[in-house]
Amino acid sequence: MLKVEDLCYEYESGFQLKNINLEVKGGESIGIIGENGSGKTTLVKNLIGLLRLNSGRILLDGKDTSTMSVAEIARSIGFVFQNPDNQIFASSVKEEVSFGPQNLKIDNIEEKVTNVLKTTDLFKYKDSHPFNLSGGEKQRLALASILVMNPKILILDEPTSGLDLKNARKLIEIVKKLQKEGRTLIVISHDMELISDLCDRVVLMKSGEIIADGAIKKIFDDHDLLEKTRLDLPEIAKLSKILGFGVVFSPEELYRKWRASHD
Amino acid sequence: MIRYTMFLKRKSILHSIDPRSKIILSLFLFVVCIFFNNPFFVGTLFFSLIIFLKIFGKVEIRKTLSFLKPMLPFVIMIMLLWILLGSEKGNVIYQIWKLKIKDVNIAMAFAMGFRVLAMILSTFLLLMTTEQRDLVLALVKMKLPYDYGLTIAIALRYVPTLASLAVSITDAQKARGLELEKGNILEKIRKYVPILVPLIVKSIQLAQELAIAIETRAFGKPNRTFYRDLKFKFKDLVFLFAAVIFFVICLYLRIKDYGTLDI
Repeated sequence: MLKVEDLCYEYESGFQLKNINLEVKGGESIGIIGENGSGKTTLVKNLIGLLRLNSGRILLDGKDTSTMSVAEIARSIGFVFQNPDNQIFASSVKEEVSFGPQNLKIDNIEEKVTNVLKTTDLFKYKDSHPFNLSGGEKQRLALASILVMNPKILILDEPTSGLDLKNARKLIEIVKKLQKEGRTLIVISHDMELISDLCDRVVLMKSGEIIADGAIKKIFDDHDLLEKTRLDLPEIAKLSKILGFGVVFSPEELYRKWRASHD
Repeated sequence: MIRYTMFLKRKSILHSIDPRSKIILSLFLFVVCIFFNNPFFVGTLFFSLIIFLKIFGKVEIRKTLSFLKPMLPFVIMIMLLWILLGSEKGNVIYQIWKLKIKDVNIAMAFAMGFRVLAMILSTFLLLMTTEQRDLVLALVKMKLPYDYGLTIAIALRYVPTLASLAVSITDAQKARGLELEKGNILEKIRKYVPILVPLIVKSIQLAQELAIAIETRAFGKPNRTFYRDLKFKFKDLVFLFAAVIFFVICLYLRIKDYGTLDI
């Protein structure tokens, strides 16, 4: 679905993405993790065409994205930015959500906007002013305004950052529904609980390079890698590792392993 | 990448001079540019300023020219206006329909081009060798009310923040299919609405937060002290004296009608 081959990108400041190779298959859920400044957002901006790579290539369904505009890429890859306030400009929620489809000249906009507002539990606010929404609702609005363009790949940048527990859970529920529908998901986050909840594969970045790419449990079980990148595991995973049960992401799984070891 | 400040960090004589002396030199240079309209005089002044910056400010000529490059369209426009619509005097050297190109106007076009560049450079000389905080402090020390000084400091400080915000907003809207390059001039202007609205809203929010933050830190209380202070040293006095001598010589030359063209 999406293939990155030997991607290199350099900012004027000198920061580089070096030889990035990545393959994303349809329906996968991938977490991109790493310290601040490791290159996660730079990589994603290259994927959606906001930054143009210096060398290498990105293939989207076999087509080289260097020949595609950002708008063309946006039909297939939707990027939900971290701060929803950076995009709100319309005077009503439905108008805000309809902005993307209008730009892309998509048909049946009203029907699509209604559906996506229902999916994101914002339908009751369809005529409200977006600036009057709460932080959690604004985040869902940002998600809705990308989902309405029906991208095959959804990229979320720190989706739960700054949200209270209730709103964060609500957003995660929506994303999980999208996963079940078969949508490909890429999540950038420092929240390892969120990553372990949503993703089965993790891409670990450091200083502009991918230093690990694989199954989440395998990577979270690699002590040297965790030391090197100062990753903070979810509490339940830390506890299960201390107890010698390996990496576990839910109390139920931990309990099962504990029972199994005592039987 | 956007440059947010013109200050160039160097260890040079110009950098070490008290900003008050540099402000006065800058003003003198600005006025001297208006004194003369002979292209050789103004041209010499312009090139001397570049060399002065190289020797005393350790600013590479390439760097100075890169700062001046964005001003070139403006300078070329002024020169063209002088060539086409200048003085009635002088000899016609070329005629296209009713437009007469005269030798005096070509000389004046070069004089005005160099004058504008030299004026810009006299301001850049100050900005390239003085940190923003020192510049504001110098203005306050020169009896500018502290409120105004703080306003200038905040305005300068927030240029990078707002520029970076504008980039983030533009990226977020591009990811929703906004294509700023397409359409006629009216459509292009209309396309900036989704960028300007969030930018203005965020700027107002920032201003409100900043106002509260400085109010809580006793802004407006009389008899404030300064963490940083400027001390006028002997070398600053020598520099100032040299600037005054330069200005007096130029004033004398102007009174004696040197460096002027009769138009």
